[in-house]
Amino acid sequence: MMKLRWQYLKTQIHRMLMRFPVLFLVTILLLGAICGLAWAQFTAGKDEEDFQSLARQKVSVAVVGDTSESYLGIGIYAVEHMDSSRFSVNFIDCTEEEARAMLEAEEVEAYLLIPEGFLDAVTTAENKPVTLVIGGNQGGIGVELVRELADMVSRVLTSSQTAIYTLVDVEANYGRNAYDSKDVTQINLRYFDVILSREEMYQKETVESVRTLSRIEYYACAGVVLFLLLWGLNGTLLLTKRDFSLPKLIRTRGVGAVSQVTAELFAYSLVLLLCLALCVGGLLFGLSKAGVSFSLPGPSESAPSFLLGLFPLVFSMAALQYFLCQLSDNPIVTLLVTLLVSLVLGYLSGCFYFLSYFPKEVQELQVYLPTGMQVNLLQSAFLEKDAAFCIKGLTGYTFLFWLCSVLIRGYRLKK
Amino acid sequence: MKRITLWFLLLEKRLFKKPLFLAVLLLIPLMVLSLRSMATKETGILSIYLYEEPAEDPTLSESHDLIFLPLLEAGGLLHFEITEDKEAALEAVAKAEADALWVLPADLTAQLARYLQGRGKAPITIYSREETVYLTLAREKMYGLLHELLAQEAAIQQMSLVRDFRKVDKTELRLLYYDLLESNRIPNNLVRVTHLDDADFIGVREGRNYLAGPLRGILALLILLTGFAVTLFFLQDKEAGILDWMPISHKNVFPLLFLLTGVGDAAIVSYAALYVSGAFTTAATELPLMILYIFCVCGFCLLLSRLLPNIWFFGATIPVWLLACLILTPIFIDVSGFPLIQYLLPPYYYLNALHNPLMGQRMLLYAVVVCAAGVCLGRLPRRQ
Repeated sequence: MMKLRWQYLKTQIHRMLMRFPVLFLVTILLLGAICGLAWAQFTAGKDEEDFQSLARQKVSVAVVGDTSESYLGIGIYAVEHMDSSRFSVNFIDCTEEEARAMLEAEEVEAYLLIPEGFLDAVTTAENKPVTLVIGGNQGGIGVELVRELADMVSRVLTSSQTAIYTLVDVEANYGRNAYDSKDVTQINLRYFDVILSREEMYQKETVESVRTLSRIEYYACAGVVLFLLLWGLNGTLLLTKRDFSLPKLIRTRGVGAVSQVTAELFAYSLVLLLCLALCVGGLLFGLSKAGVSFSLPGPSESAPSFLLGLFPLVFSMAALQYFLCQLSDNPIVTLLVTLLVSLVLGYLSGCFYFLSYFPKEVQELQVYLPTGMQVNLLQSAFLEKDAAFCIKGLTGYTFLFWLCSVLIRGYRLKK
Repeated sequence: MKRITLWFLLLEKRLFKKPLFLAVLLLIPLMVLSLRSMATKETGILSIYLYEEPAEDPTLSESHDLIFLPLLEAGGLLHFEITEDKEAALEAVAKAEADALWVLPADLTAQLARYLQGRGKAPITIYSREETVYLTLAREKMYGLLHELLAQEAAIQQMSLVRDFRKVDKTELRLLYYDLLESNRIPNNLVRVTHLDDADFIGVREGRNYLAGPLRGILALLILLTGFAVTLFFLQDKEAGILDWMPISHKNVFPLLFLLTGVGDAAIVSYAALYVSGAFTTAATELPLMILYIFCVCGFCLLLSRLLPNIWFFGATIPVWLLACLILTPIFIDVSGFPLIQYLLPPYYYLNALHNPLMGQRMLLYAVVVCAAGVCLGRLPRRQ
């Protein structure tokens, strides 16, 4: 009986390895896509600021309107180049057709349509609103940033207007014409001065912090988990069983649900680990050949110990995916379930957005999610923190998914 | 036609015999509602503590009333929280539990007046671990509120400098200024937000919260994945010889019908989910778009199955397509610069066509091209 179990395990490993070339090709394609995007982000930016702009933090806004005629051009130049704004907004002067084309091509987040005689209207309080045209995409962070900035600009302009007209009224009360006396010009210049030097209002103190993850480190951890989650879609083809005649046959020879599930799960984990190891190894080799300096997370900073540290992550992920594939014998259903679960878990675990962007309840929940623990395990390697909780949790999840799979297989074998 | 309808219904029956398939379809609206409810919770891309430094006069609380409360009411991308424990807030910043701590004086107006006169230190203290673009944005948001006070104070100071007002009592001048301020107040209406396709619409049509933003994209992705899954099912049936009985004349169109069943079901459920998600615009916009998207997905999957008829190769490329969709279509982030790949992906058209009529036309063209190519490639003789 023991021999038959070994035989089944070897068959499963053989079955998985038969598909390995295709799976590995996909792995390379997936990795290539992720690395290509990351490479584009890194190489295009010379420094951290440029990198951040490429990470869609710097917002590009097209400006339509005659900016040469009045102070408007100066204002836009000032907002673009002076102090803090140059890190967040990039204005592009163009015609409406060009702006529309750029927005359609997603080269800009939005465009500003400045009406003719805008400044004259502002000076006479007959405000002609500036139109901020946004594209048709989802309410992403870039568009929200533009909205916030537009609101701030509008607020600054209207509160300046209010203050100036009140000054004119007060002076009129004392029989003085604020326009003739150039008081309005003076106060306008004063406002320019105040706006341009607004950063001087703040005394900035840097807080000595505990070691936290950089953006790149954070996305590296999230990227590994996302990669494994998506890789799991391959598993649906490998693991979804439509024909149970062989499992039923070997059950009569003593290889029951426990042995079958253990053998299949082990073989699948092995392929997953192999793909990940080859990717990590390839990446490290490529980086070292390219002369890029890096240090691996973990106490020994060596590739084998790093990969050893990934064991709980790989086995728990394999167990999760294996379990999902046992839920149905229909590949449509297992594919849909796997994607749905992968997207929801990936989303809630901070693989798409920073976890700090989510409500507190989600942040608290993330710690207990299997994918959350996987992300946290990787992060703790970077932060050199104790990962005992994550390892215990992932071991527990691996056992739970294995147990559920055994129960489902047992039920199927008896049917 | 009667035969096609019969086949269609039989294929549907085959799918609906799987209870888990129904369960998954029902899970979609549930997921959407959960995301929607999550998006209504207090959240932000930055978490900032606000602390008011007590003034000599304990009744003064200008920062709280003039800055903190408007910031809390404004909502948006930034999450603000008022704190009364400065040390705990500083610790939270150090532990990366919050991004910054802003300390403002209770006698804000007086401090700003001193700042404008060039006397005294900077009135506001900002504690943070590092400088980021989002923190800069947060300061700009605060500046929008501070500027109102600065503008008023600067105007009063300006008048005080004028020779004609030197004999006027400063308090009287200030009181008169504040008296007249309300009648001169101009509403904050200088910038109006509109969408590309609808110049008459002012406001925000999509769910404002960035957490609910990816909903439409996720639904589009689920429909695409259903297309992939149905194609796998079809290839499996084909390999097993289940479709061998079919007349040759129908063999090229049948896969499209096969695809329409599962993709149609997923699209109907996604449409319903979209309806309850809060991101739904109008039926006149959404329905044609969804129908067009169904054909885009079916055509894309059909064409791909013609090019990759091996079930393993086809299945193995699914994660790559999904990753491409996740990164290159505007679901979570907007990435431009890869037009050749982006124009291959059906969700790219669907997500952009909502507010961009040109993309709608391109979507129609895409659907026609991929469906026709998929059917035509099926007619080509295969090498034995």
